[in-house]
Amino acid sequence: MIMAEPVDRNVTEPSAPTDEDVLVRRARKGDLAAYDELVQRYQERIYATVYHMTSNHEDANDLAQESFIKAFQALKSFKGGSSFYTWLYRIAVNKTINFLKQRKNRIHMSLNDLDFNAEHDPDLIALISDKTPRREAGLTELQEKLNEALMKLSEPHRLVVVLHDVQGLSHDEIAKVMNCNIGTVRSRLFYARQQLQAWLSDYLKAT
Amino acid sequence: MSNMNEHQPNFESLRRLLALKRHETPPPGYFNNFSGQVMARIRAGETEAADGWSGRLFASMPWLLGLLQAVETKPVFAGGFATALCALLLFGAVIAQRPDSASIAFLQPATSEPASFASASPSATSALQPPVNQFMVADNSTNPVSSFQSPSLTPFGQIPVGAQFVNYSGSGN
Repeated sequence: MIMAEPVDRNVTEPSAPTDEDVLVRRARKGDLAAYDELVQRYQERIYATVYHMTSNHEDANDLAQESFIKAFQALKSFKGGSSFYTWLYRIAVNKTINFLKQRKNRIHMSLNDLDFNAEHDPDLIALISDKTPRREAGLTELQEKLNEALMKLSEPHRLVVVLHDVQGLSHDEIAKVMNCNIGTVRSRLFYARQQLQAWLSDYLKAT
Repeated sequence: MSNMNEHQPNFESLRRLLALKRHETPPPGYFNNFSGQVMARIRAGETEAADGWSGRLFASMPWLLGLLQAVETKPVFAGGFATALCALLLFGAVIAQRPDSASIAFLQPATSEPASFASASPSATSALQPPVNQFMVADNSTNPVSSFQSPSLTPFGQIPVGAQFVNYSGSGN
């Protein structure tokens, strides 16, 4: 199962916005069944974002759950200025960044296993072809090195890479989530990619 | 941005490598229980909130919960509250360091000179006050606190002190 699609996903336009509005309104009145449906709708994307930021399954589990709980408690303050998903994303991201700041310099990775599809991903097959400088490196090693490099980035830079290059969010949506302008998102993304490219040069095919 | 585009490095290999992250998946069946755990924690929290003193407090004053949530979710409110608190502390510190401040006046009794307590004669106080009170003040003259205390200024009102004379003569064993 792939946790997040690599395509540009517009978070302001979920599959059924009116349905979502109804669910949010019901949840605001304390309807737990409605909120349960909202949780199921977004649990994978919220978990994935937190997981890619922390590189730790247990932390991601706690933080994702706490984000949904906090969102439920703060639902009355949700005025609908943004989509529910963007608002939920913001809660999860703020919670994760606060957690990472508290845990500074005490990074412990607990990585999820790669799914079966990884071995058949054309991008990855191309990457570990005989042109790769470290072609003996397996996918697991690549996974570890990639996560180590990501954890070396500052939280805002890591977040931009995760949201754009892993989660597939647009620059505009990332700007809304991070409460900054698009120019800042672009410059952070550029800098973060440069850093990653330098740190992972041994594993990247020279083009 | 134009400068950035001119020297745009090729991130294609990096983009391919980052695709690996999308294949990191939690254990099978993980999401089957996720929402159930979240809802259980919400229900447990609601029960706890309703049972605890804070729950009762928030139930009686829902505006207080709203205020706390606003402070929690909007950093500007938290900042404003902290600024107001600091300003209040600063104001208090400044006022406390001014000896001629009017705020000190209320700490002192209406008769501003402490010596007047000591010089207060029994006749000037009250007819209900027995003479033994004067005796007590004299006895406690080594105690600077009690010697300044007029019996009439005790927070418990007048202390009913009575003296009885005992006659030991006459009856024998």
